[in-house]
Amino acid sequence: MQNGIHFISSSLDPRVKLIVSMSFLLLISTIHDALILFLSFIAVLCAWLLAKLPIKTVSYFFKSIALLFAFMFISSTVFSRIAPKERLTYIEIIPAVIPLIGGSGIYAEILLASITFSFRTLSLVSMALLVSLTTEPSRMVSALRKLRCPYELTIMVIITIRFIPLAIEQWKKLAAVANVRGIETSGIIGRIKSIKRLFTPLIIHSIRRSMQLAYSLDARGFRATKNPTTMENLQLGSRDYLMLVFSVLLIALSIVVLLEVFSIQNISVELMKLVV
Amino acid sequence: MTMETEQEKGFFKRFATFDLVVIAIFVGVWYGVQQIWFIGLAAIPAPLSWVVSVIVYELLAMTLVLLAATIIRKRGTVFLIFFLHGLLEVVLFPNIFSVIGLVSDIIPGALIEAFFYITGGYPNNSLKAGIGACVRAIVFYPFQLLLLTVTYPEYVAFVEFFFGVPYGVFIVLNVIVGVIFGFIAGIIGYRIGLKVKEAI
Repeated sequence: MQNGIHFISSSLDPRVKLIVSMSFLLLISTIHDALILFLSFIAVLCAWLLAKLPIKTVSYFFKSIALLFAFMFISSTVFSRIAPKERLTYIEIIPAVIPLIGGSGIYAEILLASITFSFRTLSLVSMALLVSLTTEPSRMVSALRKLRCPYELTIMVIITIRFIPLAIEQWKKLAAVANVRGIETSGIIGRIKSIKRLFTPLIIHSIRRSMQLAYSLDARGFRATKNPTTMENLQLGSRDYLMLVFSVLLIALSIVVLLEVFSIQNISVELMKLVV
Repeated sequence: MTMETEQEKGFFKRFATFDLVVIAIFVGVWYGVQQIWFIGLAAIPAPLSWVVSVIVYELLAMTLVLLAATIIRKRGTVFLIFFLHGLLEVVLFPNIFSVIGLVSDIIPGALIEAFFYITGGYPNNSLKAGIGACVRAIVFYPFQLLLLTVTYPEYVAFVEFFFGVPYGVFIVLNVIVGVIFGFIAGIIGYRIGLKVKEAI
């Protein structure tokens, strides 16, 4: 458990997960059609279901995702940069018979652009979250090592990830101690004042931990050999290769969309015209 | 304290185990405290939360960076802290925005490092530490805010509506706030660093 998040270990190699997610991101960045982006989001949702994450974790993150979608949608709709000459279809939301606010509505093109943008961001965030939640940080670090990242750097990443929740916990403990002593640490002013009071002991504590950890690492032969062995050796399996082929297909599809070989950009526009 | 072997080569050779651990733990503190702060900021109205977040971010980040630089005093320390911070975001949250974040972390880190070496090595007074910390704000905010115009174009109109100023002015304001508080944070970090160095 890290930062209140449960990581589950999936059978896919973390390197493959990274490649698949990046290919997917490339694809959704090239598509400008709301319907296809919606289908992409459904595909990510299916991947979430397959991941069999705990319900509590899923609901926690989907509440955040829903808020993000609402924010993106409203801000995109209100602040849309579509030129007035491109706004063609007006949808009346409040009937004209109502005084003062009657006749208010929105242009279909703006609505479509907002939906497109929101689904693109939503797919992107959901995919990234899924990769994060289904990969233990230690496996991600092993992947970095396999990708020829320096050994020292991978150890530093592991230490940092391990120390984030500890730093949060330590900060909360120090704030609790300050509160017990009658020092205010909530509210804007209290928080600003608390920085000085809490920061110094936090740093001293961190330095002490650093010294202990450095001794401990040295005692265990850190940097004693050029190629240290690892507890878990990442090996690509048949499923990994299958997913790599899938990634290649996604990248190929992105190139096809970029080159506009298929005119799939305007499906939603055509559908909206039919509806309106 | 640390084990130096003949097999160590390259960039990391100059760092003892303690140095690497201090950098890693400080980045963990940076990330952890930042999370606590930004959760609290969500309840504040947008323009105010922007000011507070820039101030807190600069104070926290640059204090820790200059603190580590003062303790370790080895070439590449500042760069490594920024690089590790960016890399951590990519590892914890792999997406295109975190990759952009990694790039926007590396450039100021390298420039601060270059500044120290042009002016004669790592800071030996608080003024130099303060000015070094300002470099980050000058590079980081324009770079990241200009990238946002590509990744999230609606942000421009959003900012102009909430703050009532053109986007260019908003970038300049960010830089000014960043420079002022980066300077203060650099001095604070250097002074705490000296005390900690004496203590250890």
